[in-house]
Formats: sequence, structure tokens, C-alpha cells
Amino acid sequence: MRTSLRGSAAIVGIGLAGIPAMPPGSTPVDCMALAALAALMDAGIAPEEVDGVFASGLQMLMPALGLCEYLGLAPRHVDGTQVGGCAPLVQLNHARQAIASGTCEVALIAYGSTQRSSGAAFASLSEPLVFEQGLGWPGPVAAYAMIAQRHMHDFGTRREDFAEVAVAAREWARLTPGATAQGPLTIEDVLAARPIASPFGLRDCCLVTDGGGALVVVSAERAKYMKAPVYVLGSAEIATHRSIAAMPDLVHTGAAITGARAFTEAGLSPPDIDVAQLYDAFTVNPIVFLEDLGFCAKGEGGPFVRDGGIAPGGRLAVNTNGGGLSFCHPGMYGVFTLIESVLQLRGGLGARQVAGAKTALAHAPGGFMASHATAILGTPETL
Amino acid sequence: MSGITPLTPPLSPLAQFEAGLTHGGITIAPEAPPARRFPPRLGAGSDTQHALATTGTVYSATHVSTRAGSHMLALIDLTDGGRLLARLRGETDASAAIGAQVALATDRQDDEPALTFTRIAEGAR
Repeated sequence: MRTSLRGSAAIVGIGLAGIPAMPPGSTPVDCMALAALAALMDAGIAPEEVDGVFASGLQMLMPALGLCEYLGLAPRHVDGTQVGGCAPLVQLNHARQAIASGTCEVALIAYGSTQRSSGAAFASLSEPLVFEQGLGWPGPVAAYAMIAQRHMHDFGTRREDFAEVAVAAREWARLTPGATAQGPLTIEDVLAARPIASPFGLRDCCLVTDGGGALVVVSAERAKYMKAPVYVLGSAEIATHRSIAAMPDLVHTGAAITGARAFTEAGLSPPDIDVAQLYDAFTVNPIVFLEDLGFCAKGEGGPFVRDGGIAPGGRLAVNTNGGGLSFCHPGMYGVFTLIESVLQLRGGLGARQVAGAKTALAHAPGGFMASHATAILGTPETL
Repeated sequence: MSGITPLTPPLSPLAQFEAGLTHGGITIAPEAPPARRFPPRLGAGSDTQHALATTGTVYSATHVSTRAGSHMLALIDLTDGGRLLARLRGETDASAAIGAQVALATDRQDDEPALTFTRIAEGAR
């Protein structure tokens, strides 16, 4: 027997920490725990009530243990799923399953990183990918660049389209207090930036910052009596490969599967979504996700973002805090797609607020477009 | 020992692949079909070794720029199946490289990795 989990759990607390940088000597656990404490305070829930701990990070092999020790927790449900940047979205899916099955009541989902202050170019505990070593493989940027290059080949997407994504993110960031990058940015600036991996220049690539984010999730029954609960209407996860050579098709991603599943569960379709947070480690990402999630047809992502299509006042409000390109990018950005979704649904964000937003979609990939998770969130009236 | 026998391969997929390259070939470890997958992986059944084509078509590519220099990386669809990540010699325009017919380089230049492909001259195939 299978019952729907639609609306069974809600996010009732959110917290941020360490953006753009923690003080010198800080550890990823410091950052993660601070975000967790902020989220618990936001929820009005005492740390000792947490009985489900979900933690992730790139620099920590055992992030859940670090968080439990730090906060003095001994939870009965522990989850350290590591599938790359979408891990917190995957853990949100796991958390609502755990809450529904009764294995925990108060789930704390946390992420933390000292990616910038650690001084490493890309601080990660990733296992070596032995068939990519020795080729001069610079990691994610080359994988996503090849996706972009193939997207250009198949659909005529232009470098200017990728640049539109970076410029739109910056315009949103300029409306977002605390966003890391807020200086003016033009299409020409993006095109003229130092080449990194064609077709990408520096401004097609996410920031390198510190940062932590956390969420508190409880059952809908409990959330009913709390301030501004945001309900999980649909959620789905998938993992398809590890190495870029094993990705079945560079321009069709697992987002098409998780998106369809999440929309079906939520009983919604793309036109019903008021605001979308699409993990933008590189400028090609939102273009591919807009297609795979059904906001436009395959191959139409370039035209969709053109002429300010996802900038403030555009066709669809995307990455309304500035995303990984301009808000922050501490190694893995997934948790921040959820936090900005919650903020938009709570309302009152000033200049960047999407008026009357009732539904939000958060999507993140992990690794080289290898794992995906989609979450569709809604205000109480969407239940 | 009781019950089951541990499976231990004579050669790792990486060792077999690297051994093949030293002889100018692309070989992958035993694996149940479909076997032309990268990275190569072990299977639990067959012990057949697979020699793959050393020619193929560029599926996608990117020109990587670093302080130390620049180089082209490409995903190559081998002629008889299998897609691998390799270095691509002599190309700087990734858009122009997509679709190019390429072959595993038989000579190794400077500090190139062993898994380097080059474009096959027009009409040479």
C-alpha cells in the first residue's frame, strides 16, 4: 500500500551562515552548525527536540556525526547521503518519508562549507576518478562546458544565451541584501571574461564562497500551529551516473524524470509555478533545467532566457536571490534553492519578492548532472 | 571458506586499460554485455576481454584554459560503440571539433596523456 506524501511535511525553519566567508580558522562544521542553530531558532524549536539529523558537505566525510556532536544530539534517524549538490533536496525527500513513517518527528537538514576561507581551489573529499586523471580534467567545469557545447551544437544555443543567465542572476542579486556579488554585469562583460573551459568564461561559473544553510522539517499536523509553514507538495530524486563519459545524453538530464514525478505528486504543472530556484553552478544549467522540467520545449531554453527572460520582470522568476552565480556558492548550492523558495513563499522580501507567490520549485543536480532532485513547495492554501 | 567464493579479478579495469594503451589499443575489463561502457567495469560472469575500435567521432568537447596552458578534452563515440573521455590534439575550437572523425594517436608528443586522439585527415579513412 502506498499513500501520497503530498503535503505531509512542512519546512518550518530556515537558517543561513557564513556568507560570503567564515572567520579564519573556522571549520565546515562550525558553519553548518551555525546555520542549523539559526534554523532551529527561526522555527522556535529547541535543539534537543531534533530526532532526525540530515547533513552534507564536500569537505566532511561524516558531516552528520560532526553536527550531532556539535549540537549535542543523539538522533534516532541519521542521514549523510552524499550525491553532490542536490543532497539537501534528496534529504528533504528522505526526511518527509522518515516523518511519515514515524522514525523521526523533527528533522534538521544542514549543509556547511568553508570553500573560500580554506584557501583550496576546490576543497572536496571526492574519490579519485581514475579514468579522468591524467587527462588534464579540471572537474565539474569541463563536464558542464561539454554539456553547453553540445547544447549549442544540437539547438543553436548561443554564448549570449548563457551570458543572459549570468546577467539575470546578477540583477536579482542586486535586489538581495547580503548577496556576494552585486556589481553591475553586462552581456559584454560575461563574453569578455577570462576563458575557463569553452564556451565558458569566468562569469559563466559560480562564485567560490563559504556558506551554510539549514532547514527544519516537521509533519503537517505539527506545522499547522507554527508560523509560516511551507509544505512539500511534491518531491523526487534520481541518480544516473558518476563519470561524464557515462552520462547517457549530455542534453537530456534526470531532471526530466524528477520534475515529472514531482509535478505529478503535487498535482501541478509548470505554468502553476510562481517562482523557480534552479541550481546554477554554470550558466548552462538553468537553460537545461527549464527544458527538462517542462517550462519550455527541449532546445528552447536559450530563447526562453533571452532578453531578460529570467531576470526581474521576465517570463519566469528564476534564482531570485542571485543563485550560485551571484548570491553564494560554497561547494554545493542545493540547500540554498530550498531556502530561497521558502523565503519567497513566506513573502515580504522587498524588491525581489515575487508578488503573491504561492508555489515554488527548487531543483538541483549533483556531480556531473549525475543526480537530480526536485522539490515543489507551497503555502498553506495550496494544500 | 564457507558458502561462497569471493570474486577477485586478475587485473583491475584500470590496469587492463592502461596495458592496452601501451600497445596502441583500447581494451576494457571483462563485463557482462552490454560491455562497451566507460569507465570500464568488472562483471560477475564473462572473462572475455574486449578490444574496442581506436577510431571514433567527437560527441562533445571543451577547450580548457589554465595558467599552465590550454588543451582540448573530448567525449568520443568509438566506431563500434563506447564513449570515452580523452585528450584531443591539435584542436582549439570545440564547436568545430564536434562531429570530427578522430583516431587514437599512435605517437605521443611531449607530456600528452596516452589517451590522446587526433583528427583523421579528410578522405584518409
